Amino acid sequence: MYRLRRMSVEYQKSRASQGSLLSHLSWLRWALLTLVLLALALLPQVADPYTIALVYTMFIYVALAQSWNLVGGYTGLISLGHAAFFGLGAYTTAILMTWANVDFYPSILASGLVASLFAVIISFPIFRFRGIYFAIGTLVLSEALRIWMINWSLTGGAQGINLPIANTPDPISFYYVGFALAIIATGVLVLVLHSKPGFGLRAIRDNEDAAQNMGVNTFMVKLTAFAISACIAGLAGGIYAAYLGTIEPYSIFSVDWTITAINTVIIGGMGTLIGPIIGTIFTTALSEGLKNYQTIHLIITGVILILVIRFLPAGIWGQLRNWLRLPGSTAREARKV
Amino acid sequence: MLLELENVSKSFGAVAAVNQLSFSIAEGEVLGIMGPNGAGKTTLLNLIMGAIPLDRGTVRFAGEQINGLRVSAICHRGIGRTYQIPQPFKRMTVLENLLVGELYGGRRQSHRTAHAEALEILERVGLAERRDTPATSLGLLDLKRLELARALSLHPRLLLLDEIAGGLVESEIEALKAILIDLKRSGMTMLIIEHLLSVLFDLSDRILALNFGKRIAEGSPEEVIHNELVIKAYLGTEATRGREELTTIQPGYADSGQQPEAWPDPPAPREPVPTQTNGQAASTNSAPATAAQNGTPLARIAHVSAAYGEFQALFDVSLDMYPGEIVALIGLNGAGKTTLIRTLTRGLPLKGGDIFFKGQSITRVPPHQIAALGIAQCIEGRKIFPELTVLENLELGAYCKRARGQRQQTLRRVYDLFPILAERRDQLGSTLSGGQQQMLAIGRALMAQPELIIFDEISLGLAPIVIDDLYRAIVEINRQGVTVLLVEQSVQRSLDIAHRAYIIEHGRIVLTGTAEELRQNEQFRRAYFGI
Repeated sequence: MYRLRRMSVEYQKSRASQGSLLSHLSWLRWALLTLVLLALALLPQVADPYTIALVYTMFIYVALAQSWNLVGGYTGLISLGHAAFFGLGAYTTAILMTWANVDFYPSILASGLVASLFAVIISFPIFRFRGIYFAIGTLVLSEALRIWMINWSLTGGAQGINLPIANTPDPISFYYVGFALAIIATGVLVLVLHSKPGFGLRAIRDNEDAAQNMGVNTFMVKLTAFAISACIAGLAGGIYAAYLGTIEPYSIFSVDWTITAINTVIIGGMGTLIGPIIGTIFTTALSEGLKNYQTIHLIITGVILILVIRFLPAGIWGQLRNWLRLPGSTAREARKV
Repeated sequence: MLLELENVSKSFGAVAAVNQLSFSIAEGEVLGIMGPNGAGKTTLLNLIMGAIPLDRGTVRFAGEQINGLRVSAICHRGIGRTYQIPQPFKRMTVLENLLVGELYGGRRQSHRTAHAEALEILERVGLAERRDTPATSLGLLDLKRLELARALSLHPRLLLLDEIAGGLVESEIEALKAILIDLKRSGMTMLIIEHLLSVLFDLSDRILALNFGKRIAEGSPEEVIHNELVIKAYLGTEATRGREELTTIQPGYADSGQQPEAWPDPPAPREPVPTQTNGQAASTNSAPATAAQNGTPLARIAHVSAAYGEFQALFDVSLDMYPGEIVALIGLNGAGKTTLIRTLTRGLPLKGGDIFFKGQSITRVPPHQIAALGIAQCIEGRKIFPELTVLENLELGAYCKRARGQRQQTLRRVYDLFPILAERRDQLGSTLSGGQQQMLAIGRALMAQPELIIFDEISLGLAPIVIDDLYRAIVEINRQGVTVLLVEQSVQRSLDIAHRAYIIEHGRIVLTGTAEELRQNEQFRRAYFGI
């Protein structure tokens, strides 16, 4: 009897301990995860170039969505300016590779750093705003950056920059670079969320004043989240630019990047790790399925977004988690009194 | 001295919220702060925590000047604070809420110890069983426990408690008090802001009374309660009640080594006492003649069951309100009081039963038409329109057709009831004090010319003297012929004016009778007065 009770206490302790990764993911999840990763790693050996390119694009979207998820989903900072980080990353790689003949890999690393630095600098004025004002502030910043790039002759103005083809890797290598980025983006979120900052971020999201009151230096925590998020978006931008071979400010700083990231996260499930991945699969499948009907594609996407927000407010994964009563679901033990 | 304030001042515009205030708290001491709404009590806490900058003066903690530091830094020095209105991290579990404090409270420690300590605190305040529940689904009592637990998770040297007992009924307050007394015995320094005198007097070594941001009295509880200024500005009739309470308290109760009671479970449902049949329960109070219960009830809740998802909140509840009556609904937090009211006013879908108003079933009437029938509600938290003037707020109350025609007469009636509203008719709602806002909310409800008016916890967070005024107004409203359903945290006060009362526990009506009968009832006294 005593042992049994003891074991159940231990079990509860381990279940409640969000601190350790191993206890959070059961062996079944580990097996599933390994299988999926293995399949993705071996995909280029068997798939045709179109599929490879498609999955590569999905990797980039996953990274971008996770990047937004960290600030939007977990910290409650609704950023409408992620296109700025993405675009800055793209321009950094383009400039370094074209003018300084820097190799591909160091260039994209620099992209991440530049975007991160930009995020840190704008944090000081932008964190004075909260809620909707923060959202508008970030939107204005990224639009301002776009207009500047259009008019700045040094970066090619509206024409943009053509990257040297010779220096860029082959499509298979790009696939693996994208793969690595998606894993890193998700992995960084796992690390952040399961350590001390994870509690700080979510506390800020739920109630910023109370978080300060509990000793959270909200400015520093927000700054860290913003910088990490920008770094991921910058890396994605750098890889994207090299892959495309040519960039111009209109599309690279387009607010579409931000909107796509937000859409993906909302459809998949805000503030969840798996949500952005599910969201990417869902939206990609949708646009693939509708690619022959360009005119109605956007209408259908819009309708689906409305339906998801109306009927699955927690997103596809968030809802699934509640139905399956997996850890982290809010439905478990939730009852209204 | 652990905390020292020197000539601290803070003004909002032309209003001096805190005015040249100096006081100090010694290590291990408990200082109580009392004063009317708008006396500057919560502002004082915000100034100490650094949430708002002070205009003049200094705040020192353990000898170090802390004003000017950021909130999180002040917290790291060892000050924990609870909010009057609970501010939990809603989407995090109860345990995670505490882990924030454990990890960010300024002490370096591993997740493992943070975890163990958080669980210990939850055990201490009686929340251990709910540790994996998201904070958003907690009831008020548990939210108050969480506020306290979260402040404790910082392992503070000084605890600032802002109306921790507000909104709780007597037996819940007793349980909370036991925890605080236990904390005091362990040597915790505390600053307590509280409207509930029993909490303030039992815990405080010294009491500071404020009005308009200034000290009006300071001293032991006995000294302060006899102070004329305090009685006039704040206590009102509660002064006599408070004195009685003081005499029943053993001197040095807090240090007597008496074991504090564990936080008790809410009383188990008892065998229901046979309900008084209509007509017999003649009221002993000075009931208006119309309160004779031989007619048909104005409103009747008949065998109602209701549920939120899987959670059943009401079981076969029946309740009658006769024309001209004041009916009190009494129960612990989470007993189903608010749910019961919602079945009346918000069209909460019923699982069974029926609701009648003036003989007609209103079970399927949509919520926005309820007001037009003559049912008005005055909800806790006041919910006035802050950006509209007093007059506009009142006029909006007469929006429905039945009231629009006689708007001017009703307005005069409301102004007679609350002359202060007439005085301030062109002022914005947000500029009124807490008590005046509540008067405005009542006035607005009256503008709809209701036949039945529901008061839901209207005295929450108000000074005793203001509550006196509100209760006089309720009696007057009732005398003018309006039937009243009163839901109130203070059982004493509601029994003082109610003709009959219903006791609700775990979603069931367990007891009903006249106010006098209930006061005589042994079980009831024990459950709700702790005597």
